[in-house]
Amino acid sequence: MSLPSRPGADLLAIEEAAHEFLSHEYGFTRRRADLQDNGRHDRTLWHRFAELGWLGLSLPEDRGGAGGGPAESWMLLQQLGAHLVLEPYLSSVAICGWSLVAYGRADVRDRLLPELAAGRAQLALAHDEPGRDHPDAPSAVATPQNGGWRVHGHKAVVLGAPTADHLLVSATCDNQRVVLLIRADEAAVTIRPYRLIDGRKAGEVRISGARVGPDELVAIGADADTLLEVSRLAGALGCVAESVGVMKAALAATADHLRARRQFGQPLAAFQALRHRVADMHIACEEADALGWRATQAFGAADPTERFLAIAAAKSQVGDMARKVCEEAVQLHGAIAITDEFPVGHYLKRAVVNERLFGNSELWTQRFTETAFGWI
Amino acid sequence: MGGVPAADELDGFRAEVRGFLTSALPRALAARAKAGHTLSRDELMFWHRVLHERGWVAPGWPRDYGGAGWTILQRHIFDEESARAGAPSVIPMALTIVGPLLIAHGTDEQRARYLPRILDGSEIWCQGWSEPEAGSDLASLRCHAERVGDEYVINGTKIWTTFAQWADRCMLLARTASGDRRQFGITILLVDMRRPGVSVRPLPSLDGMHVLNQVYFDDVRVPVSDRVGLEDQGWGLLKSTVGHERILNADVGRARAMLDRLIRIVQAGPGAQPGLRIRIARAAIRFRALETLVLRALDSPDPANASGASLIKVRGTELQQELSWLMSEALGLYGLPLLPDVMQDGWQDETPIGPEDAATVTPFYLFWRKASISAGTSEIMRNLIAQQVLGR
Repeated sequence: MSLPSRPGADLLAIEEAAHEFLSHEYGFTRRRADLQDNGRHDRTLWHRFAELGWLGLSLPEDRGGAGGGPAESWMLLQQLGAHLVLEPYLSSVAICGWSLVAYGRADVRDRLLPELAAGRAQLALAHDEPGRDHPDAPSAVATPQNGGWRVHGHKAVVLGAPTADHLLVSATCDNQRVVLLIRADEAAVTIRPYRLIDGRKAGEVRISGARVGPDELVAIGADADTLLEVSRLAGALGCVAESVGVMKAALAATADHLRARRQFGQPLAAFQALRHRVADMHIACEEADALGWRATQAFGAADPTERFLAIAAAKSQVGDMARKVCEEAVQLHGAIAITDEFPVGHYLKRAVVNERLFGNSELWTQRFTETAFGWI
Repeated sequence: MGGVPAADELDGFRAEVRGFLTSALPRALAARAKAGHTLSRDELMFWHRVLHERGWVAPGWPRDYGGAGWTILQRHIFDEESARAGAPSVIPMALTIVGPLLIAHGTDEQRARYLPRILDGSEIWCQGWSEPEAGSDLASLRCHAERVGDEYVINGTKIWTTFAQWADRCMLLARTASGDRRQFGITILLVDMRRPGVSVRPLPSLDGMHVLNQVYFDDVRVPVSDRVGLEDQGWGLLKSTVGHERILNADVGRARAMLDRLIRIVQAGPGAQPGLRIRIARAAIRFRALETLVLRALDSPDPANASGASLIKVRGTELQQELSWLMSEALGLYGLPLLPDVMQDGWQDETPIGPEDAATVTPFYLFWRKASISAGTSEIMRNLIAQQVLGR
């Protein structure tokens, strides 16, 4: 009851500024050029994000951030989704950054977070493995050696891996989980880069005998479990935030199209069958926004059960809602939306990827059911 | 938001409501309401009088007129707590429509005559709005009133009139003129249901119960002093009075009570199939979304005209309908026996058929199809939503 029911003026200002910047600097044409530029990792835009204060927005002030919380990122991530931004904010800042803010060894955090906020380092979480999402016992193995570890393993579809400077790698070490920091350019690490269907960069990470020193330990045992769970919640919430931005943008584009396009001698917006579909798209956007906002509030809240339930609730529904709204956007635009040079289909691509990453709708519905009702 | 109580004041208010409900609401009555039994007129009016004694029966009326003078947020909290406690919903028409209408647009004499009897429960009201040929398109109504001297003479019929069988009075929308603009020429009249020429035909609903009626007016005479506002100008008065109700229509409290009951049913039974569990989880998540959407609407500068009101009406009623269905499904075969006596009074003998309360569940599912039809159909709501997004 006492939490704000909607973003206040300060948060809306962040959204407005992000929209302003991205509208001018990140048009669809610019984005297409980025997409065709395979293999080159241009950090110009990333550095602009750092200058704008976006990278440190939700990181603590004593580690180079602006001291904001999840609510600030909620606003920013929606805009990154709405403008289909390809930069690895979600993987680097939301997933790795937020997890490190509260969890993991202090000296690793002290080293990494200022680098992250300043745009000098990109991070990626290497946790999922082929056929195993969010493994409880990773197949990747860390063998103790000379006070440090030797790591072998294969990490699947690692978001942001091709551009990352450091990987946070999960592994099994003596029956417990461990999270280690490994440089991406290390000889024992090979990254097979590719793009996901929405254009974002990811890759297969193979680690064969990487030596990791004791200073590179991020977390072990229960601490590692907590960090990985938080990273998953952060990833889930980040996907929700992006997708809410995506679906609102898809709805706005559809509304514009229906008003402008004339068939049978009248604007498409005059047909009630279409109007009701737009109404349902709007309802979905508002519901998704409400679920996401509540999850954002809960992410920073003290009650771990409510945090889990709120994020599970959002991730279990928003992915499908966003996909449905984007499918409707494609349908209501007609054939033009099937072409790759038209933006609307790209909303659908982004929604599809966000639904799948960090646990899909079905998995989170299952997890919600277990925690909310205790029925296994 | 000027004049809105701060969060801790609201917590205090919630505690006060909760304390009152704990002491004033008889357990047996709460149990019957929670189990979905059809409450009698005596039970409903008992609770009306208890609320009246506490000064809370007319939450939205100003204090000067005997109301509680609550904000819409306080009313929301009251509704939520009432549903949680299993308090009956009092017969609403006079309290939510007739009272506010008379307070805003009635004469001193009308207010003095009618408001006290609404408050103390000595008179029950119904609303004569819809007609067989005027549903969503209410402005096309044809029930006719002709001015003859100091009286109006009414001829025509009204339908879906809730509790007309108990009503002492009817707030009637009658046509007094016809022209190009159909909203013009509608007059609000207060009709004594005992006048010669008024007859009521029961319309049993799908649950077999009698709530709805058709009312016929055959040369019914009403004194001009029982007209509210000016002749032909009723539509405008109506629009200015009916407003916030749509947000409260979402009835978060009712949805929560239904969700709790659904979970009780599942836990008492052999356990839900995995598919059903997933759909229950989805409904619980939709409930969380609705809670936030309602708080957003209540929190907006002008809740009565909040743009989210139509959306909340659609989603709130659809969610209640979904929950009513899930309850039925969770009962399996025992959701099917039709046991009218048990619906009314609960099990009176030793050998119940199926789980406790099962008899009320599927009939309620059937009856509650009405939720997305009354007070603005979901299709009308979608028209309004589309208007916000696309323009006219």
